Amino acid sequence: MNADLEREFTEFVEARSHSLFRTALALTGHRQQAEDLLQTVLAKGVPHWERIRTGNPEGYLRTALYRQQTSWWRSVRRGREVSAEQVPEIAEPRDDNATVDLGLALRQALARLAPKHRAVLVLRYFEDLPDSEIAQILNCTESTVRSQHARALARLRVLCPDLAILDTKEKTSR
Amino acid sequence: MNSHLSGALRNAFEELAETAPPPAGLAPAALVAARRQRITRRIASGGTAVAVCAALIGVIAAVAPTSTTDGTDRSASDTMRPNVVTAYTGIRDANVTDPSPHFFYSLLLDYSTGRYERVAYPYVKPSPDGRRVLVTTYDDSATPPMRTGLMDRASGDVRWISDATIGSSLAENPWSPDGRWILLIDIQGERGFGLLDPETLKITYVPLPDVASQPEQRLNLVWTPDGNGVAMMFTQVADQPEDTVTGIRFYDLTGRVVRTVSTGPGAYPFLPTLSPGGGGIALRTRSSPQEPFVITVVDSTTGAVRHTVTAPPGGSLLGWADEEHLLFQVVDSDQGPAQPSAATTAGATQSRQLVVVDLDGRVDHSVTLSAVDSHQYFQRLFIGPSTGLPPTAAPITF
Repeated sequence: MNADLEREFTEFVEARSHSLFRTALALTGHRQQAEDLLQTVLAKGVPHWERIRTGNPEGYLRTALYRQQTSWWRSVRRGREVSAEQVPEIAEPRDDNATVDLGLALRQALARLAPKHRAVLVLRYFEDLPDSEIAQILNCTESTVRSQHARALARLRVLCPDLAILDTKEKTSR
Repeated sequence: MNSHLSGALRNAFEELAETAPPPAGLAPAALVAARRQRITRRIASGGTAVAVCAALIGVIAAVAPTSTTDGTDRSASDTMRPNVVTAYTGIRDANVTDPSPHFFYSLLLDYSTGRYERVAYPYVKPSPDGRRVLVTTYDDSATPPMRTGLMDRASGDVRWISDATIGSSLAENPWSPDGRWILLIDIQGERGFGLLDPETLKITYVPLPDVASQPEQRLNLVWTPDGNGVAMMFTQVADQPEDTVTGIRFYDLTGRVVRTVSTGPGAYPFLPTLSPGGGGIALRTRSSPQEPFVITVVDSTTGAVRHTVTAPPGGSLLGWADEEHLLFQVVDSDQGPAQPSAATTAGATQSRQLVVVDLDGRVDHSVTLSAVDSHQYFQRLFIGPSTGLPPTAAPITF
């Protein structure tokens, strides 16, 4: 990469690092892991910068973030839980009036999701993308996206029984 | 979908995304890391980044005959040597400026003529026997639609692979040395690897039961030279930096662990790493971006260091040329000949050369990459045996 391209790459990263880092944080939930993830993707993007700069470099790198994060080669190292095919029985929900910090409990549950399940949730609820675009980014079919989404939510309910509070609210509001 | 749950998830992700600002110095760190990995090379006047990787395991012929052209450039010799570049892929077509599928093309070696022919696929990977070619189509858009297939070299017909679990990183999916399988490294939802049968396109999934129980990070999978197994490079989690190999575990094609070799800390993985005879493992040891890296050759059974070889200036390791020689690509003409003491007969510096170096670090011979213009961008090249080429192709062999 010549000096002009390096300068352009640097300017791009400086301009878009906030947005990309937000995605990395949502994907990992952990500052150091987010830095590691973004740094890895940026380093891999450097050799291809001349090509990707002409298209949508942010989209390219954002896709690379998701694909890097969902590679199982990395997931093992991080000791992340891998969602089981068979979802165990759902634990008893707490009392509606219990003073729980649902947000904190939810974030803790998200941290225990398998990377691919978490990525599907980030793409749908953080990026607000339709299944078709999620499928493109994760390089899978739309039906796979839907099934992964369903499994992720099921797993989330197991990991965070307090989510039953929201089901109760939903029923009440109907 | 529970709207309250949707809202809670949105809030949770938004809160997570705002927990920290981006770290400073991301771009310089990425540039240094890329240089460290030797993925990019500066080209003389074009200033274009070139990423080169070769899949050599099993496609390299047996030990080369004793060189009679010590230190010479092969373009000046007519001796037929055992290896040849079988394909250049991802060549940028400067006449295409939109992100269309014609943005890149490839060159495939025609063994009957010894010449390269242009094919319209941006990515090609020939099988060791040259009968089949793994091809991928994509364009230059942000999330390009990709299709992967196997092309019959004789007819040009392509059978497209529809299995979505294969993933997109085909560059990491090497042919087996005997051409019977394609190793699928990154299988969605699988903790193991896949074997794609090029005859039937059927995929056999091979789980690696030990993977989940080992506190290690897996870095790469390569074929063993006999094609009867795979070798996985890994690093220990606790005390090693990212991408540093500390050991290699060998599996048979059923996923059974054959043996594990500790390589010690401080080596980076690359493809391929095993010598054609299987006796040696070449590992690239840590170096600063300003210094040539050092290749440590360890015994594949004991892990003991057998040789250390300093890379030629401006050279990146592609793999093994044969059991006693390593193969480097030297891209940067600004840095002079590959080995001044041995390459003086090569005369002027070349922008892109393949340089064969013995395990004592001496340049045995080199060949200039002449199929592509010296300033033309290409992504990868692949190496194979020169068997079957006409004598007129001798200058491109090495």
